[in-house]
Amino acid sequence: MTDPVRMDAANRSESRLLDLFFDSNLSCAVLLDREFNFIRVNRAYASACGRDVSEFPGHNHFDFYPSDAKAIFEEVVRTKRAFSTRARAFEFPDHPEWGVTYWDWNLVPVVDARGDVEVLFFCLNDVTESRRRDERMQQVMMQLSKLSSQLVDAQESERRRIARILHEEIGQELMAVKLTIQNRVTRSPGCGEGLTHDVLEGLNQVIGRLRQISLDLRPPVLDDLGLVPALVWLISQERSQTGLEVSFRHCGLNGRLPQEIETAVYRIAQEALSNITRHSGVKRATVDLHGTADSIALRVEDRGRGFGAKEVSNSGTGSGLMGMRERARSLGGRVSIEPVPGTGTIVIAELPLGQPAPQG
Amino acid sequence: MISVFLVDDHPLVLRGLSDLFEAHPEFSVVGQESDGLQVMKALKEIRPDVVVLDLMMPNLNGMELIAQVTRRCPNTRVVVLSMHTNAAYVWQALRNGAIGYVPKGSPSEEIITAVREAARGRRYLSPSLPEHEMAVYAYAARQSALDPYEMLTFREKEVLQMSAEGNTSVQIAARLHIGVRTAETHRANLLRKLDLHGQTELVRYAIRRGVVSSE
Repeated sequence: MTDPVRMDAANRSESRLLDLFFDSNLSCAVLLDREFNFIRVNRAYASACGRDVSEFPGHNHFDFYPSDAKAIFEEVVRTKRAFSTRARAFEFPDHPEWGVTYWDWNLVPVVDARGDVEVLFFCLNDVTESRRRDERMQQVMMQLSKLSSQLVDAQESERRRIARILHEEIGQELMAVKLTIQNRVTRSPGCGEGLTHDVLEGLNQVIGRLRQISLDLRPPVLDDLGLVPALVWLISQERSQTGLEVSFRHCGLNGRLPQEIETAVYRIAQEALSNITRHSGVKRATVDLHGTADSIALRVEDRGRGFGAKEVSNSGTGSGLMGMRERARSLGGRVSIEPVPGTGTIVIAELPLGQPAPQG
Repeated sequence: MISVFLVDDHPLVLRGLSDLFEAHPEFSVVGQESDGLQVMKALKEIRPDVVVLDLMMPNLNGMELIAQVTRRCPNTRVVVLSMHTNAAYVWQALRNGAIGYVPKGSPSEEIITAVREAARGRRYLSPSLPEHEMAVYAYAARQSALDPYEMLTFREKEVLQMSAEGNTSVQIAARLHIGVRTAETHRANLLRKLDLHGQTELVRYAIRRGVVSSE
């Protein structure tokens, strides 16, 4: 074992293996001295920098690539602790055409027998492409979310338009026809009274039906008078149509809120109440509305076995729940649905007032 | 003689109303307007005894107009003639200063009665609008005392308590197995809901509300 020739051969073969490992590594690998001068770089690093391996030794890393990372390097030498970072931005000064590139890298200090930093092992991976992919994905998501809130807006304004046409225009026309017939009957009594009665009866039904369709589409009270009167109306509708008894309380709402906020809160309340009548088989619920200077919160609770989020999505009406969440999200708010064991379900929605920044 | 001013954007309705009043010698129609933007100007010039107006017109917030007329022409009474029979409209119109309210489609004598009563300073509501419905509406729409703590989600209540106990977002995140940013979002949300600003107010609120003890 002490044969110098054999030991030398063993060393040489070991060092060849290390060279192979260093150079064939697809990650960029760099050895620096404690002043950050290049000792050696591998092919992957040189090619990532657009240089030859031989160009590096003897030069300082920060002469080639000045950056604020120098402070980190100095910290690593001082503390003798390794540092890693992910997707850190870097611009090659000699290749401005490459733009901003992104790197995952580690800097590992190698300490000698005396405890001093002897060399630094610098290992990097180019993650520019995946980072750009993420950015594009994020952009697409932003566009998608913008589109979805535009869709919601478009749907509301279209509903409003149709509801107005039905109620204000066609409704008034029918009312006028009814009056005309009534006037004729008053002036010449006895002329086809039975028929006129039937016609009037039919007209009344059409007017009533039209009214209901228009109200269901978008109650004018929401636009004309605001959120609280609209919720009072919604609750009275629920009572007469489904028998659901809702106790409504509100506090801190003085005057009107931005239209998109009023619409969102109204629609979320409507969806929550309709889920209650569809799923929970209960006859009682509460709706609470609380406003502060920069927030409005809605809380809908049913006093029954509740509708779990799971149950709702299983029954195919998950889109309603998703719509609730989407409406809130597009205004920078959120909806939370919480089962309360034994008592029911609580839906809490909160929308910030002021800056409608959508959350990603 | 009672001077009447008519406001409606439907020409047919205006003509019908005008004919109706002209048929009664005690009334004189002193003007009519179908453009919402012109109404206030005309009223200030003409100063009629009674204005009969449709709440819903293009370019006009009918409720706001009622309030304006009441304020700026205190001798002019407002009678509303509306498609809306919802108690909320009636209640709001009366609150803004209207003295009469008749749904469109009511018998024409009702309109005559409403305007006649209005000119004498007496309230008139169509029999199709029962007073008790207004009372029911006013009761349902009243403000109530509400505990904003109940508006917090389960998570927000947890974060409130932990935050009041002095835990940082990082500690809260670790204990609830959520991200640090999520924990911070919960905290920001609960502050907004409770109308609190900053940690001092949060702690004070939590003590007052009994979420944490003051020791």
